[in-house]
Amino acid sequence: MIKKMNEKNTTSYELLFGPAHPGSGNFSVRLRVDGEQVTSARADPGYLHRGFEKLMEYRDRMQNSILSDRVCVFEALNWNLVHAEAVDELTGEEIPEKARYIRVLMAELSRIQSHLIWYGATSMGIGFDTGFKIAFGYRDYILDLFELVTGGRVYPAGYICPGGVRRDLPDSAKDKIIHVLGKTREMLRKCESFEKTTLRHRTKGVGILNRGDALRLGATGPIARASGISSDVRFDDPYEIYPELDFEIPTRDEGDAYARCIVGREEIQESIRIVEQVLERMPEKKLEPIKPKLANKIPEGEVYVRNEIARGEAGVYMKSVGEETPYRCKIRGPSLLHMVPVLEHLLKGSQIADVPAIYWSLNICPADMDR
Amino acid sequence: MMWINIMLIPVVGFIAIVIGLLYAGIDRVLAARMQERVGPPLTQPFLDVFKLMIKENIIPEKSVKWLFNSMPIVCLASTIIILFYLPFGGFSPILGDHGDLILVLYLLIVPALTLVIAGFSSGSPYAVVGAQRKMIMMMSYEFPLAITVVSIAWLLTVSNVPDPFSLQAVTGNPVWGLVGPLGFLGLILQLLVLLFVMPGELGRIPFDVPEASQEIAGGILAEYSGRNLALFYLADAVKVVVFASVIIALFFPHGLGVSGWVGVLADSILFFIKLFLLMFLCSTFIRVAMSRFRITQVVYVYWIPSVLVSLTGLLLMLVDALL
Repeated sequence: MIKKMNEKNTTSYELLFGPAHPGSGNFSVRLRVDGEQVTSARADPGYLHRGFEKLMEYRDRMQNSILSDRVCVFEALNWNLVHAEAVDELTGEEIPEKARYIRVLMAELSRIQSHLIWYGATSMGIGFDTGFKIAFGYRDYILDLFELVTGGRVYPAGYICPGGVRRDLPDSAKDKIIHVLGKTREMLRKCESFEKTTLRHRTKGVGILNRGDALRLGATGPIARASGISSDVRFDDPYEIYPELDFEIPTRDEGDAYARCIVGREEIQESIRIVEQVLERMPEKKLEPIKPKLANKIPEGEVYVRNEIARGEAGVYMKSVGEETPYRCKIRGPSLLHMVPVLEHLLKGSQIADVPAIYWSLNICPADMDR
Repeated sequence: MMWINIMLIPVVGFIAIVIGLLYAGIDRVLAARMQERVGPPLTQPFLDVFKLMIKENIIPEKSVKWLFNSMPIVCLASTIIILFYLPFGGFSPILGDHGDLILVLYLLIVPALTLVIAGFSSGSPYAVVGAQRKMIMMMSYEFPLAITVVSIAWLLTVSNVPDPFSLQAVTGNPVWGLVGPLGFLGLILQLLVLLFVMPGELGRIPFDVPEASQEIAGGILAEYSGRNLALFYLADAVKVVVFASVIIALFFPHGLGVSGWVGVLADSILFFIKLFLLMFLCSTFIRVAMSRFRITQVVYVYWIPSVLVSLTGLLLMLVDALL
């Protein structure tokens, strides 16, 4: 495994960070290392390619909504929503008022649990076991909610589907959601103290992505916001009921791993606010379960829909030629740009010890990159 | 008497392993409770070791095989050997007549050194990075450790205790009684430094940089499996007992002062309680509360703050002795 890069310089060798590595996901980075210093990094994606774009061309819209769960394991409901919106825009179907509220509710809950994973994974990357265990532990409360509402803990089986949502919220859901939000708030208070005591000395000044580089390399979502770019699709190009809601976009100017951690935590707080508003304003009327219209054709046309998911900007380009199945469905995941250009840029010149901190603070998901 | 001592050697080794593993189990349960988890059963480290013992022992092709295979044994053996020179429970050291504090200091380096050699001999870049880090760490924590030990020996010398480096002298004359208020403060600083060196010596978070699994995939132990890995686990468990015993011998050698068999038993129980408290403070608590240091930070905290604190402690003791 040791490759001498240069006969004169025998201390330089290649270190693989992934795919079989406890600190990486289904993804590999080839690091050229000189002692403890990383001289260059090359991202090596493609270990998780499952061919969703092609698979979707052979399935109708309801089947595709189930397929869209799998685009990213940790954000199944958000991807459900992007896909459903693309189809809705093509068909021009009227979405029931309550379904729009439930869509936002579930998407925001999904954002909270995704950010918890982010927080936990960053803690794990810097060897802070407690943060990792606590974040993943509290995430389970939200998974319990998903099980109650959708029937699946991780994969909701296309709960948010074209035409609304599959079925109404159960009666007990509202109380349980409020209970879980209380638990999450409790956890965030712990996270705040972790940041002050231990996260700070490992993430402050690590992996600094300045504003210019963030724009040039195509960073979106929380990564861009931690670098001082105030951009959020929920605000810039609102969808569903977001224009009616009152929330803020946390931004920071430092652009380092610590700033990204804090942006993640503050976004959880904003999401909690959104969920509370949605619960308050949600219509009382019972929602009819959706009937899958299998034989319906998608009208001809093409559309590009973008959403703000936890990791950044997610988009679906869909073209239909008037058949049941889409002619082409292109998925734009936020992780590809964070994972290849941004990661390579940040890793160059860093220490080996900072590689996992940088890698996980970018909140990347190999699944939505390889699709 | 010599024969009885030699007979006792395997017994002490066995007891040390059992206690080490038991403490590893308690450590895991306590850490889990602090992280709002249930945690594994107390017997989990025993089960882990049994499982590893029956697993296949894979030796990498590019390794230096004899070094790769012998280092785990040397590591465990050298760790257990230290125990023979330390008072263990209510018993005086088995080989106490044949070695002193300086020998113990040297022996403490051996397990770390075997880990370094193990890393270099396994022929994996992860292990090489880990071994380099371990070497740098050893160079960092040895100096404050040496200052502390030497200052205690010096304190015994000025207090006219004969043979100040022998462990009988150290344990026979608890250091707290030999100093005035300033020296007492100095001793507390020395104790703090020693408590801070302990997780580094044991390679626990925040000082587990040589093994950092998220960074270098297990580092030194990346290529180890099966029986060899089990031996390293055992050595790690015994190391906790050994290093805690060193701190107890230096700073808390107090017994209950009851004579006869009851006294030995009571002193043993007291010893295990002290051992448990030290382990909780230096291993469990610090591990749960902190994230891993960068190697540069490790070198910094040992060379600058720790050395300064221990030198201040030495200075205070010096002033106290002169007054």
